[in-house]
Amino acid sequence: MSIRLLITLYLVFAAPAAQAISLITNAADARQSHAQNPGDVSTDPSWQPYSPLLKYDEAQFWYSVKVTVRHDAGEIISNPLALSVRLNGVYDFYWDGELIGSNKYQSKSANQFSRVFIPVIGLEEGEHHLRVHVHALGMRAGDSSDMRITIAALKSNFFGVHPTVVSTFFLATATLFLAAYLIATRRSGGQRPGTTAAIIFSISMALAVLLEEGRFLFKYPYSWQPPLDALQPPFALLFFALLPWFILTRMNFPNRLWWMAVAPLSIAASMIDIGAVEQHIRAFFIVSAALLVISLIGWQRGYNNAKFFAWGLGVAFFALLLDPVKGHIFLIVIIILVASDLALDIRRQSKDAVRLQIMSERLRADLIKRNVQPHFLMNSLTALMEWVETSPNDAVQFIDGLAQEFRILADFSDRRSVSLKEELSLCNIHIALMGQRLTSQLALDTDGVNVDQQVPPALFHTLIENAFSHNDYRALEARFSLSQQTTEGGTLFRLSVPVVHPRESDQNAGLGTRYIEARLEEFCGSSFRFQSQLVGSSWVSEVTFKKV
Amino acid sequence: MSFNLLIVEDEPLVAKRLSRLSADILGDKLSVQHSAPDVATARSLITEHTIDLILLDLNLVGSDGFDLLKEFTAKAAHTIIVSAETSRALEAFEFGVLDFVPKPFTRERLAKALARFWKPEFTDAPAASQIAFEASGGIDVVSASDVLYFRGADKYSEATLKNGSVKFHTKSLNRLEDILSASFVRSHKSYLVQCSAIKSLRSLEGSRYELDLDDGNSLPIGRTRIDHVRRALANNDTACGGQ
Repeated sequence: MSIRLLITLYLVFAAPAAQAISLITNAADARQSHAQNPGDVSTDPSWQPYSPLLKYDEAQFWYSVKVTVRHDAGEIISNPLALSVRLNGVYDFYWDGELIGSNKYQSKSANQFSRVFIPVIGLEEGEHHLRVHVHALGMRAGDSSDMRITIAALKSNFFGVHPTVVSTFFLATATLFLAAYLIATRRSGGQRPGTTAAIIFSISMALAVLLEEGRFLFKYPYSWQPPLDALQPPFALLFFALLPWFILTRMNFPNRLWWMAVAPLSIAASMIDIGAVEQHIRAFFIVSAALLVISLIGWQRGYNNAKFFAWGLGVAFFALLLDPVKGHIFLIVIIILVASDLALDIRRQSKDAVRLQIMSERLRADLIKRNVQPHFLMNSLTALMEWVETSPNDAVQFIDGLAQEFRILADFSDRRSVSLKEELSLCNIHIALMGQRLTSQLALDTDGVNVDQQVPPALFHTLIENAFSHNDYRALEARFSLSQQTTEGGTLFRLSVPVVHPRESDQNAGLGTRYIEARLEEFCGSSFRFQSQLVGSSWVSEVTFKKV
Repeated sequence: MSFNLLIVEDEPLVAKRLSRLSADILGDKLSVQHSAPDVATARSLITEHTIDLILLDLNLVGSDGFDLLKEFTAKAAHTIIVSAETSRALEAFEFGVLDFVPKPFTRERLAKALARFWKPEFTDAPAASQIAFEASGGIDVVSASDVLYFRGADKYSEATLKNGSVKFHTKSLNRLEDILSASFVRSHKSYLVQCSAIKSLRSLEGSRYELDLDDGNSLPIGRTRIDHVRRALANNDTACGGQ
């Protein structure tokens, strides 16, 4: 077994006041004894090499290891160091035979005290003996005692609470709050790409942290700890899978599944035992480094948010260097990164929602305005006056059609989409009215259309109105045609109108086209394509609703 | 006096209504009535026939309303606009149309507009402030205030501008007077003078009078028009007041 107590990194980064002290143990020297009160390690035969597997339920045993303290020259020891143990139970710490700490009794909480101070006076350079008397409460025969003695620097306390407890509490609260906020946002229609992954990721992180560190926050029976420990790996795996997925999704990275290889690779790499650094910390290093590289690639390719993630992951990587033992600062940076990215996106979405609302109101006003467009309305009323005086039956027929058209347009003005059946009804009424006014034979043919398909209101009506504005259909026969094609890319509508004595101006310009594009944007965001061009003797407008 | 009417309208029912009501209103005064559904036909009819009055829709398929306004007010005939776009009425009057009839229109409203062809002096329409001249390259638009005076030349008029240049207008002096009387005074059967350009009125031997203009030129005043000119100048130092 390799050296497990080399924690120079920790001392360098987290406990600068004591940075010149190294405490070195060789796990191969670790011994255990099941005697009631064993003697010296070198003479008492009850001392055996340490085995992590417990021999019986709630075993009591002694653990012993040699600790070498090394000082740098001239260093003044002023900051107390502490030992921490990762074991459920009751235990007493003896430093060179002196009791230096104990949790003394069976508590309601597993590992109520996991840290004990090493007296400064006991830290003279050289070899020392550490013994721990352990009663592994709540653990069964065959369980791994995972008896790891690590050095912790009690650098400072926060209102009497160890910083690890503070960071655990902060992490758990922040991640759960983020998850709750994202769930609420999602339910209120604020679903953004990666939101679901972020929710599961946040909950997984909260649970993994609580399962790891919850013993410092909550009191529960010793017997709960082993099953709680067993619950950790799935949440940790979710963390390592969903963090890359979230970042790749937010950047809209192509071939995301291929790039997701970073997750199993980082986990697999963390399994390789390289000694000093904890497995999960190694996994953090690997996953954050890999994601940083991916973000830089995305930044170089100009992907969404890639610059933001590159900076954020750079900070996270640095945070991991600052706190390579617990990784809490890293996790805090990661959760802030995820929350900030989504918060910025939700803010953008809110702004977009306001803009869309304004656009929607404007479109509604446009539709109403087009109802009373002078050219159409006043010419219609003039024609009506003529019919009233010369041909009352025509007047009645025209008024009836006009009333139907206005009724439908009034109904459409409050809606963001209508069925094609409703749209075609409006178009046919308009064509009939114009045919009567222009003394022409006009009709709209349809081919392969799905009348249940939803479309923006007055979409084709506007295109047909444009056709009347730009062409001279007086006293002739003309046929408009609308076809629908469904392809892998989406649904294509093609409206063809005959060109007869066209205006010199471009038919694709003006209020009508702007209205159509705004309506399409309101209807399906940017997932549409609209183009209009002269094809032979027809003006063909194509609207494609892309599959999302 | 009978006259020739041209209806330029692309809406069949509206054209039919204009034709029916005009014939009804004008009766014997209407000599010939032409109808054009588009600008090309209208141009052709104007070239082939003597047209006195044009009823013009500003929103013809294939045409820009502003271009139509410039082109038709530069013609010899008077123009009455019949349009749904009432927002263009002021612009139309600036170019010297006789009237602007908004659609839809009744018989009475059309009759009132047509009456202005004979009695334009009773019009309450604003005076023209822009004058469109037919030119070889298209239409030139000149501000009415830049014209010193018009001189009648047969059926046409010759405009002398403040910058010294001369332009020909296809409208007769009488028709120009119809649309410019608010700021011009008819000092002679052959002259229509910008009021603000008149420096003084000078009497000559033999009961003759002349107008001295700002640019140093002098124009004769008709014996029968001296009172009219004096009244006009007395009304306002810079404008003629319309009578």
